[in-house]
Amino acid sequence: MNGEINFNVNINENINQIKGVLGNSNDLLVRIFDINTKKTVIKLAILYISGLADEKKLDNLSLEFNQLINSNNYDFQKSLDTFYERLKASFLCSSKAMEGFDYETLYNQILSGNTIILIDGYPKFLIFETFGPESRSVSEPTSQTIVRGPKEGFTEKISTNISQLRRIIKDKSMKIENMTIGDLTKTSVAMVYLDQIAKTEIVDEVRTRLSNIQVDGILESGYIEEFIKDDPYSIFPTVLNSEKPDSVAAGLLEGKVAIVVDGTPFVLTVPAFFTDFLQVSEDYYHHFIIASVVRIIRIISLFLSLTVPAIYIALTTFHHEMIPTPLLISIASQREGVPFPPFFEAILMELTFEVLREAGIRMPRAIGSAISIVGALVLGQAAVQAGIISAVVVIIVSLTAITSFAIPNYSLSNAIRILRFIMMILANSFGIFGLYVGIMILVLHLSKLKSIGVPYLTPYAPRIYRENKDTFLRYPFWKLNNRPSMTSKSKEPRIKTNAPISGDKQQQELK
Amino acid sequence: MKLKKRAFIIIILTTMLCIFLSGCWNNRRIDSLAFAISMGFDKTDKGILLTVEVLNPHAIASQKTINEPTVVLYTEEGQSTNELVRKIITQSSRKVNVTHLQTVVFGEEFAKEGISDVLDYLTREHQVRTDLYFVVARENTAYRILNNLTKLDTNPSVKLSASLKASDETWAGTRTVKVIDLVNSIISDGAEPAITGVIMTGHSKVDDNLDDLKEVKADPLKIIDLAVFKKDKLVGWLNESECKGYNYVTNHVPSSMTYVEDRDYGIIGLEVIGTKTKVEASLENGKPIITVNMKIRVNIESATDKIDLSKGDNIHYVENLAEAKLTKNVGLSIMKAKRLQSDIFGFGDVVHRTYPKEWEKFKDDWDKEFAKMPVVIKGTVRVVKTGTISNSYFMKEKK
Repeated sequence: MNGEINFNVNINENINQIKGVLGNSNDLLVRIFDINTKKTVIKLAILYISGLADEKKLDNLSLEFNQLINSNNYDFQKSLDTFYERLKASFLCSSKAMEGFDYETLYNQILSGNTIILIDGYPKFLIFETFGPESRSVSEPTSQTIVRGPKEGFTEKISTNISQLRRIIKDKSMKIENMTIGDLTKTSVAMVYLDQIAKTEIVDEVRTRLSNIQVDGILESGYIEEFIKDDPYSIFPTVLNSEKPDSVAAGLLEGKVAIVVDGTPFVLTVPAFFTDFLQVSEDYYHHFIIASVVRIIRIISLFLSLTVPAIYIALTTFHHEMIPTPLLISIASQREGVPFPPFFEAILMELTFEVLREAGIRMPRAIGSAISIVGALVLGQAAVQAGIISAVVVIIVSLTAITSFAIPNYSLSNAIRILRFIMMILANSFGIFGLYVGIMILVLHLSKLKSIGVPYLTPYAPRIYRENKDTFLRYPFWKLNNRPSMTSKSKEPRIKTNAPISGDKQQQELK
Repeated sequence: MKLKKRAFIIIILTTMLCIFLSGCWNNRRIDSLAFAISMGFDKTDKGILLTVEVLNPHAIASQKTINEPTVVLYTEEGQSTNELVRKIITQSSRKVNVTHLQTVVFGEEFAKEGISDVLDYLTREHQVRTDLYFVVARENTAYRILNNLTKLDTNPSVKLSASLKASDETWAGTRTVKVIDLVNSIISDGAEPAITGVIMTGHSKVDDNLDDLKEVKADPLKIIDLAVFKKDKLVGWLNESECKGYNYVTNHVPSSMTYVEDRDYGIIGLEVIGTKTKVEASLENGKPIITVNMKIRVNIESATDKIDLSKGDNIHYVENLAEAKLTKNVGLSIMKAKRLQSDIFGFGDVVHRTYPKEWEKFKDDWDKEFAKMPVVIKGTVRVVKTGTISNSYFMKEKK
């Protein structure tokens, strides 16, 4: 069954064995036919799995086969070798033809949707690439919606995804390295990078990490993300995922390496920095002042989402003097008659919100509206009116909810969501002091993190002044001269026009 | 490896213990505290009568209307302030918290005995904010001042501190003092403290009857006059115009209203939009002389039809009238202070700064030196604008 050369040459025996190994499943189609030559009759067999092979490609193949059979000018007098070579050469135009001579290859190829042609009495077989399963067409990404910019997203098909990248970057330096990961799923994974920009160390590191993955199956790029992450226990994402070809292409232009995984529209980009998770491709399509302000709003949202409930708990249980008197009067009057301490109150409402959020995602669409009614009316309003929860806490929970939605990356948003609870516990035990220590530990942790060997807080720590132009603020394009030095080896400026271009200036330069 | 794992678990456990065992320590919930917003101090036979006005959040709660006052008064008699504050728990279900103390009211009798003990408590206690205001109840006790309900601001103490703050910025006739300034002026050799007074107007009855609030009447509390202290003891009062003089000398009139009166032109209202006062000291025959130089900018706010404001001479005339009134007010307030032998203007500090060596001679007996010292008052008033119109509309009709 395995082994290389001992391919059984008898075609009927072969077919029976293949059928047996594949469990006599009825989606394996076998066609046996004869080719009459002047001297002998050559027996051929075509095998493929019906659902995996593309109908169109099969049609083409059979068309060419018909031509071959009908044109009787094939004179195979010498041997099967010449017949085989002629056969192989005559199909080159329709689809890729490869050859194989052992069972292992045969099973792999047939299960990958390719078509096999066996020749009776000959130890080699031909493989035609006919893989083309049913797949989704390119559509708008659902997880990253935008107002302005390309609306197409990646699909589950790796070849479509790579072609989308190819269509954006039409340069010969874009390299694609294919590999197969997963002992059973044999998922094809492609590493895409720009040869002249990406740092060789990073590319090599990514390649080694990917090739060292030993697992039975890869079902989504999240598997790969967890395997190649530098600090596997850290809650912060150090691998960026995106559903949008334009943002992946932007990463490639900065010297990053994209990892495209078959079967998922989420393409990974490494190395990823903390600031990358707060940026959106749309930032670059709008005016730079607007983009900068929006980025600042996102950073404020991140901070608020992390700390607002903790600050509320700290102020109401420890630091009453820090609340302005009129506000204190209002909070005190609202808290009058509320049976729970602020910490419990806040935890209760935050948990309720998290449950609502989780339920909202998992619920069937049709009953989704019921969730919002229960959440908003029953929990929010009734709890306040019944005096179980104070109105301030409802405001605070809504604020954290809104601010957490303003974080563009879902992975980072999730991390902040969990850390918020830790901050609340710290605030309840040590007040503002605890919150402060918590934030300090968080910053230390962030500075320790690395993404494929590159510090996570680049360009803040290590501080690179020149590259601070595209972090909290987005400078105009004509100021973003250099590629990030941590990821790109090319010292060539990416923007060669210095000032805003105007006709007058060009004329002056000409003179 | 095993050791490392065990060490890790021990670290985690100790951190958890730190967090959860200390959880209740010093944890004070808002609804378990009684927030004192003002304190009153009166003198009694037993020592101090402490009146604490505490917020009643129950009554402020917006949705329900409860026939309850927004504040609750607690009184306690004894010797030591901090003991009395804590002792209120015997009357109230909640512990008194002084972090939001806004005003401190001294009864007149108490102020005469000295306020330094209270100031020590307020500056030593870490919970007290430093932005609270002081007032002295003129011819009254602090208890009676605090035992009033006010309008507009439902809360008497909030009303008191709000009107103190507002009048400090917009009216020259009052003066607020923060705790730091008060302590500084007490310990300084060349300056004495002065605190705004508060009186009860005729309307008020001493009870906290809510029905009283339903009548359309003015608030029972009025900020007026200035209590003059010598060290920490009350020695006398400046009336409203003298208080204005005091504020002009100490450069503390961000904005105010005044008027000048003339036989021919009637009453002309002026808005003070800026003052700049320089106090300088000089020595003559070894004795100090103080020169007060005031530059005041005013706008004309109201005028009668008798004066033609389009003429420069008339404007000058108004300026001269205002200068005369200003120097008179300032003179009166300095005279009063001299009579009380209390240098509330801080002239001593000016002498100290200018002549540090000679100051040693006057230092010990500055009160008497101050009473004898000649003070030169120079006032310059400049009219900047005459408002949005120049002459009164009614002037033409008479012609």
